[in-house]
Amino acid sequence: MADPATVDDLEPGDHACLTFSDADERLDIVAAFVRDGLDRGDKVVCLTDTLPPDDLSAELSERGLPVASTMCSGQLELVPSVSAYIAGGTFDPEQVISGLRSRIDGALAAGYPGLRISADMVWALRPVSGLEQLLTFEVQFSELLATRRALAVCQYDREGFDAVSLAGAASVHSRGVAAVTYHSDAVLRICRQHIPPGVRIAGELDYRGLDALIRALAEGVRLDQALFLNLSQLRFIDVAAAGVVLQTALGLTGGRFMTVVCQPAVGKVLRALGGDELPALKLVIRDVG
Amino acid sequence: MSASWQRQNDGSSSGRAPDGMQQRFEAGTLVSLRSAVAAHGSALGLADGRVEDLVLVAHELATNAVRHGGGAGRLRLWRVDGSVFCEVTDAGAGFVFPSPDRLRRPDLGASGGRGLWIVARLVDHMRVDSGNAGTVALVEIRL
Repeated sequence: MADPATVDDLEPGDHACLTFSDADERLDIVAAFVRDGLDRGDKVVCLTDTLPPDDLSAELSERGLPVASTMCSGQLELVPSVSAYIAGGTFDPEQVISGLRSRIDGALAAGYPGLRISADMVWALRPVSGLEQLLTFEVQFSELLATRRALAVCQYDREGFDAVSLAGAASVHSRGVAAVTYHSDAVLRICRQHIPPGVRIAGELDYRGLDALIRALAEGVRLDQALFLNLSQLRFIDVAAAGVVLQTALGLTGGRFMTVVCQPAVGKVLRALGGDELPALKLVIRDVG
Repeated sequence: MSASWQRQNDGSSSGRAPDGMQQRFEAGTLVSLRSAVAAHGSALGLADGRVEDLVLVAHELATNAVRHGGGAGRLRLWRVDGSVFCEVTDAGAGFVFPSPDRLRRPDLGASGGRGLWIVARLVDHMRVDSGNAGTVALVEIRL
């Protein structure tokens, strides 16, 4: 499989694999995938499992998507993964493919230019009869999508699936999808966020991450009129890194501003260094417990 | 200087709690150092918010040692009576340390100088002895 694409590069016929370890990052990519589909007029189906449909609906609404109106019109459907994959209690690839084919063809017949499917695969971590055929199914799904104006993003949790299963799953999808990433290791992850457009930093950030931080913020300054820095999953920031964040806000001109969402411990450092006195900086402190 | 400082400095351990820590560090082990400081700070009786302060203080002192004090150092953490003490030593060339009470917050546009300033702001006592043989930074955080 080639280098991972970003979600906005996906095209009809793509069967993309999203492996993730951070629930918020998955939701961000799913939300961007859904938003792009709704914008294009496609029908969008979210097969959801980690979150019940109502919770997913709330997450998408919170990110500014027109969930209520598009669900009402039938353009957007949020349904449990189980109803698509293991409706009869066992996993039967032929039945699932047949169900997906009629959904795609039904959407196209109804006049939608295309169909997008977001598939949360966490159901496949449970003991389900027939699961040994999962990769066979994914191959057939690729073939089905390749012949139609439809695309899918299947989401596999890196924490849940073992390395062999993940490698197998990745190999039978036509491409991978991932956020633009500036830094990623066991301690720190810095990547682009789709909604709101900005930068997302999770883990622990100290001076050793400064180069990646500076690159990410510079790109944000270049790309985003209103800079959004999501630090809600950041547990630690040191003084050097906090200084770079504040200097970025200090450098904004022409009425531009920067929103930083963070936990109290991180907010305390930004405030101690004078964050409250910067007119261009809006600090939103959230206790995530 | 408080009595508890003297007691530590003269080597007596009569009031020392048994569950302090001592750990060597370099750039690659700062993450595990922070994690150990958080765990021991909690065990020594600091409230959650003060544990966060201690972790930041320990990190900034250790970072100074790594970046300006020869690349490595040693951190010790212990409690005497109602205070937790954190000492960071390195064998670097040393530096001129302005007295904490004269430290004003560095300008927002300044490129550096924030580390020791925030340490001084978060702790109840701070003392830095720096010379040719290295630097010893000792801070006290009251429970």
